[in-house]
Amino acid sequence: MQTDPYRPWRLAVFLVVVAVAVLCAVPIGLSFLRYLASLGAR
Amino acid sequence: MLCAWPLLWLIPPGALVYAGYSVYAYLARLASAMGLGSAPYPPRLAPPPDRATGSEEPAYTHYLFGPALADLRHAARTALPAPWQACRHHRFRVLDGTGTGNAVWLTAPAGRMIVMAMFVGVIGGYLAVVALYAVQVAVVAALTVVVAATGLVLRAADSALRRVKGIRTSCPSCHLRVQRPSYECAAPGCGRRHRDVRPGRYGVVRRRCGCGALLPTLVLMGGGGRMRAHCPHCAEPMSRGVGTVPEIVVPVLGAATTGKTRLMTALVMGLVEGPAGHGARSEFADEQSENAYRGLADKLQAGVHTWKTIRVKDAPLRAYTLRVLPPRGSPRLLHIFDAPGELVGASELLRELRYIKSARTFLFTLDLLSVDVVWDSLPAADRAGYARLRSDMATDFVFGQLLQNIEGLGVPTEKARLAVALTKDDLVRHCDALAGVGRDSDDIRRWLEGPAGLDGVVRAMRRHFAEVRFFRTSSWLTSGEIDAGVLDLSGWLLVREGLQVHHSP
Repeated sequence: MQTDPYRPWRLAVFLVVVAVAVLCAVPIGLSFLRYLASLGAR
Repeated sequence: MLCAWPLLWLIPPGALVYAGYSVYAYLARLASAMGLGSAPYPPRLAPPPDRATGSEEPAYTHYLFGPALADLRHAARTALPAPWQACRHHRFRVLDGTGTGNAVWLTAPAGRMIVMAMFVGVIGGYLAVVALYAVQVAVVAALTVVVAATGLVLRAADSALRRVKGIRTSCPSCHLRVQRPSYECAAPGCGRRHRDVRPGRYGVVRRRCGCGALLPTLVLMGGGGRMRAHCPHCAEPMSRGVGTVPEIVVPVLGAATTGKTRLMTALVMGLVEGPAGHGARSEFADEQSENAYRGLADKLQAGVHTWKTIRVKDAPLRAYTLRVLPPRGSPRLLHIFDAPGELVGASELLRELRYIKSARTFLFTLDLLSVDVVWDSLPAADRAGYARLRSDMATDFVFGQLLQNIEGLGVPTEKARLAVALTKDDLVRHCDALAGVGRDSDDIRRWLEGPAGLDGVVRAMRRHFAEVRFFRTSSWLTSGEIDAGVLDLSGWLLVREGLQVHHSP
């Protein structure tokens, strides 16, 4: 089976998208955890 | 049944979970759409053609100049709907699972809350997914701009370097000017020819041939060593290193039987095997040159005559091409063209020698036996023996034809150099007519203008060319050594073409 000649580029673009998703998800997740913690404190 | 309002607290965590799940579903589908992961489903892309057609090359288009757009379209069709599709399936499962059973009074309102959380989460997740798709578009666009700009810069640098180095390429077979040679893929058994390997839509630093092999795009920066060059006009193979180093074209012109082929063979022998390089190393740049030389060199070493150069009908006149590496400075490709004497005598045929246009140094052969004063001073026995070797065309007629055609081809002769090789010196060295004539160019010129009676030709040479130099040469080997006149001639040619060799002209 012939390997995909575009695999390195596709992987690079995909990883950038994943990295952006993770970078955005982390603060959102942390904010939510803080919200849950505040609920628990009440 | 329990009122749903006390379960409102389920919505924020549920929405967050479903938003995250939407993003995950999108990324999983995106990976598949880009040919990654365990279930690749990339867009169908046409494979490159097996041979160059129209503007198409037998190479894969660079990812950013075509396939990336196809991937974006494919992702929009298959990955963007992923959150809706995944959550629709979950909705039915949640409603079915919570709508029946003994505790339906509790599970049914909880199910409704979960579906509501799912609705909110999917809307949020879809917004996040659209944002991620926009990120992908932006990344691809930015990379395309950067890569295209890099390609343009490299292309410009390649052209500038070519101009600075003075690289102009001519085909040794059809003699036409070649802007860019075609290159054959170096992979074993491939043979696909690429017409324009410069940085562009098929690759910036490298391109991928249809066979999968990576080829360099920057031939000038040393990447073309492995690939074989071909002429785009006649498809004949070109010399190794063509297009990467400056080229020197030296046409050897003169009437039939003036000894052009022998002189050229002696020159090449001196450059490749002898001291004619004056410190520069020379090697054959293609098989054709080496094969043609070997046959003639054997004759030269055996001390037998070479046959008159005859042009086979429609066959190209090929140059003998050497790669000359001087002790200092950049290497050069030296093309020495041997024009058959018949062509030189006929104006309409002479125009076929298009390589003349690229030449700035010309080598004109003048048979000493054809000079009447020399011929008359030879003993009768010698004359009888040499009659077959004597050129019978008048020097002034031949030179006049040559000059007319050289100028007709647009060569600025006022900037060109002319080496005049008086051939067959070994046969007439001791005759009375040449008594007292030295090997110095001025001595030879004075003799030609005076006793030899060729003052008209010499005047025409000096009037039309920027520099004229005369050499007495013999193409016969003396104890296996190349004649000093030939060595002097080669040194002068190399120095005048800008090579830094150990010779003072």
